[in-house]
Amino acid sequence: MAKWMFYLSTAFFGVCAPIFMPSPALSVSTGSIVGHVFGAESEEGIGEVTVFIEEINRIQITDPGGYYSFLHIQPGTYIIRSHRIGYQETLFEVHVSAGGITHCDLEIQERPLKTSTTVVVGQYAASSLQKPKTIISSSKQYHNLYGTIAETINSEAGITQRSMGPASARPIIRGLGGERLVIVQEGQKTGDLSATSADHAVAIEPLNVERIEIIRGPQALLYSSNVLGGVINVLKHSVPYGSSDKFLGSFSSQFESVSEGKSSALSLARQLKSMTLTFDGAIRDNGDMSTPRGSVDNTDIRTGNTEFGINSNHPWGNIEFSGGGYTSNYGVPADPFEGHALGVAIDLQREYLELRATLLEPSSLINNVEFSQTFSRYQHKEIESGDYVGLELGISSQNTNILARLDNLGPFENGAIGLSYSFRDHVSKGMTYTPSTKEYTGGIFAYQEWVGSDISINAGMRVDHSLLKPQKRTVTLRPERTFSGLSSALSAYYQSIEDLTFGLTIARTFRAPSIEELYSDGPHLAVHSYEVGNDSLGGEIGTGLEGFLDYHHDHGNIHLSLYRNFIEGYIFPTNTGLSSLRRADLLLYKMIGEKVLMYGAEAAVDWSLPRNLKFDASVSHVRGFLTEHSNQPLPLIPPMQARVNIGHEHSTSLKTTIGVRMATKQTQTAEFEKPTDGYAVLDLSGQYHLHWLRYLHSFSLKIENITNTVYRHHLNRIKHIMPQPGRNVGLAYKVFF
Amino acid sequence: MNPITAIKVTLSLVSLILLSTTLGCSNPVDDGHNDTDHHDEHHHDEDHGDEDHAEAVGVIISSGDQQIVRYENRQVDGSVLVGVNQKTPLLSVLFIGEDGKTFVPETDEGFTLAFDINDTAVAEIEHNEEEAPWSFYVKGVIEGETFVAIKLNHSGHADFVSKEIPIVVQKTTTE
Repeated sequence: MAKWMFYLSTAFFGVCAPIFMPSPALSVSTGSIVGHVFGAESEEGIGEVTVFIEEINRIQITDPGGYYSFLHIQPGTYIIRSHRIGYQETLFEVHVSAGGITHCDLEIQERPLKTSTTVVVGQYAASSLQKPKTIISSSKQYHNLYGTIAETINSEAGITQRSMGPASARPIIRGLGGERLVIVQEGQKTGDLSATSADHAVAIEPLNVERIEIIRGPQALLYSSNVLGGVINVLKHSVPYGSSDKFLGSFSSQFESVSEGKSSALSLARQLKSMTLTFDGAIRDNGDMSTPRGSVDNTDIRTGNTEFGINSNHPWGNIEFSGGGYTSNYGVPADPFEGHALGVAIDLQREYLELRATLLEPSSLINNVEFSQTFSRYQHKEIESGDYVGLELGISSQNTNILARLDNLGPFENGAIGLSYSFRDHVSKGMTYTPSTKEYTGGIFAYQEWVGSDISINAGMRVDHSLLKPQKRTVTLRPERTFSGLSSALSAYYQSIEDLTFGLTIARTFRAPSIEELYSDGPHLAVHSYEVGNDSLGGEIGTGLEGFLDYHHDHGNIHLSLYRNFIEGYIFPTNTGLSSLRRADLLLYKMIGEKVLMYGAEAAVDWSLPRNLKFDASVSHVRGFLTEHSNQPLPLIPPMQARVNIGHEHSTSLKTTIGVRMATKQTQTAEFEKPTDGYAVLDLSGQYHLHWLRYLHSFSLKIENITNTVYRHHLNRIKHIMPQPGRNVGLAYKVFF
Repeated sequence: MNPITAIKVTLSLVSLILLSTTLGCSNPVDDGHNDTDHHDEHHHDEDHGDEDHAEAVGVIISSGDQQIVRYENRQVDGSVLVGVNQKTPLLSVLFIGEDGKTFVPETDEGFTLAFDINDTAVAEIEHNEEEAPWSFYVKGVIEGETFVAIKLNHSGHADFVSKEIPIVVQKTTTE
């Protein structure tokens, strides 16, 4: 989208702004919350704490004495979340009565170095439906020292990444990736093509990300039918800035030696009466990646990202208008054996506009109704030597969602019901025979929680219908396809003693094939393949079973899980071992749907030890088989992976961690797939923060792969020419103001 | 919510939806659907005015009336024979379409013939693109064997690439 469009939209909103101004009339039927936020250790008031009522998206920042207040709150029960750098994020439940003032003093625990992205993994993870009792497997802080979302969450149990060069990393959860793993930003699909190929990058800049939710189980059905893999929700303003008469924000700058990479990010927010204006900008310039075997040409990355948001809060709800643009130019290195002989440069660009509106308490049964509408445009060019555009892809998409959150419906405590509609216009140009295709998808979904004394149950259901219409006749006439499917999931939790919870999740999922899986027809030069879709594919139907155990203690947490997923019609490109008819220099990959069995286990522990030591470790293993082919291994399944870290908190401001990342040898490989050796890599990191001149400054240092070990990821498509990065020294500085 | 606020909210939402729709609904890539004068771009649509050529899936190399190499269905039959320091007769190229019929591409539409030869120390290709765009000579350099892939290029990239076709350079005997 041209820049002038953004200027126009900003100007338009300026004209419309008076419309958004609140009416002065206030109802006596509302109540207020006032309180004091203080430190558990010091018992002194703490200023600049963000106090957030998630259900109604209301924010306040405490004054220097630690006091806050919310006025004009509809009667009801709310969850208040506190957020401040250096302190644990804490949830509190409050009840507001009509005409009453509820006092809620918040005691928060000091926790150093919370200056980075929070990664939350849960069966039903943080959302507006979250209660303090909600079971969260883990909630960890990661410094944004990584160039991709996949790297940021890579240390979680069961999560790895597929890649084809440093820019294109995309997460894999329990061996499931691509179209089976949905990545959304603020709950909305990004409209990029990262799910379709290993060389396509995720069009989200991680520098400004505040929170990443990995949502599994029934609640994932609110976003997608992908319950088995899960949904990754990237939140850039999960805790929006609140009322303040000055600019709030942060500035960060980073450097990493392995690519001589430099990046900077700026976040700004300003309150103007009832409106909050936000701006985010980030740039990144990484050179070619160094490995212990030398530098790999054409692995450089340049990205730029700008986003703006305008949020207007009112007693009846709020309206938010936001937009942004992201550009990335990166290289896929030359691979004379299995890839493009000269390498490919990829230019991608994404723009989006989003409108959200929340209406509070429209009826006695409905807590609130949220409407969201997103438009995005995505352009992707694969450029060969000589500046020839070998392939150009364009996606324009529109997503509309209506979500009504229910309160105490019969025996249920929380719930939601909603509708979604999305439209995607897929255009390909260049050396390709893939037809331009329009895709229309509609869905209806419901989610409900029941919380008993020892047992809690949550369940979700979703029905999706999609229509795919190839727009033009190509060499071969491609048929229209329609798909309808039901997805459902149920999780039950049994809390045997206060800190120990057993759980069981059963799920049935349906996924319609994508445009690429049905109609793709053409060379994909970056991966040196000729890809042919299959327009007779059926939908993927998955059945999943998972048992898990969570133990939460003052000293830490333990999480164990076992799972088994059976997927009928699992769609994947299979290497036929033949050359393409049109391009004999390229291997022919065909989409097929097969019966697949996947099972695995995960374990994670984080535990505080004496002398301010902290131990955390995780291990995960997954296996996948094609059951119709004598249990032949499924391609691109990660090996067993483990991670062990020991951290030492020298003070509340200084923490150091030493850790080892390990993976076993992967010999369970599909036909034409090569095994990968195991490895163990040593890392060291440290974080320090201080309050100086009224601002919080955070410094981070990491040294990865200290011994400069040559190691390779099994899911790296170019592992034979490019080992993982060598010794890397990363420095980061961030100031909050 | 009072009626005035409701009207304001409704107006705001409608305005923003209309604005967003206007700004966001067009695809950033033009597929040429509405462009009748789209000569610079190449997209393989049969209903695209200047692109109704056949798509090559095979190739035939002939010397005069004699077919010496045929590549079709991933199978190469035949080879090019030439003596050391000698040149073959002019070899002509015909492409095989998906319907099995042979055709010669239109040079006016930007199609060109190209070669990818493994070892130019063994044999060389002589190709005069202007005078004989769909013909070529093979010149033997030293005794041995090498391979050549025939390419049909269009707008900077290969629409078609054959499998490697053997070229055998034989020692010439003098009597």
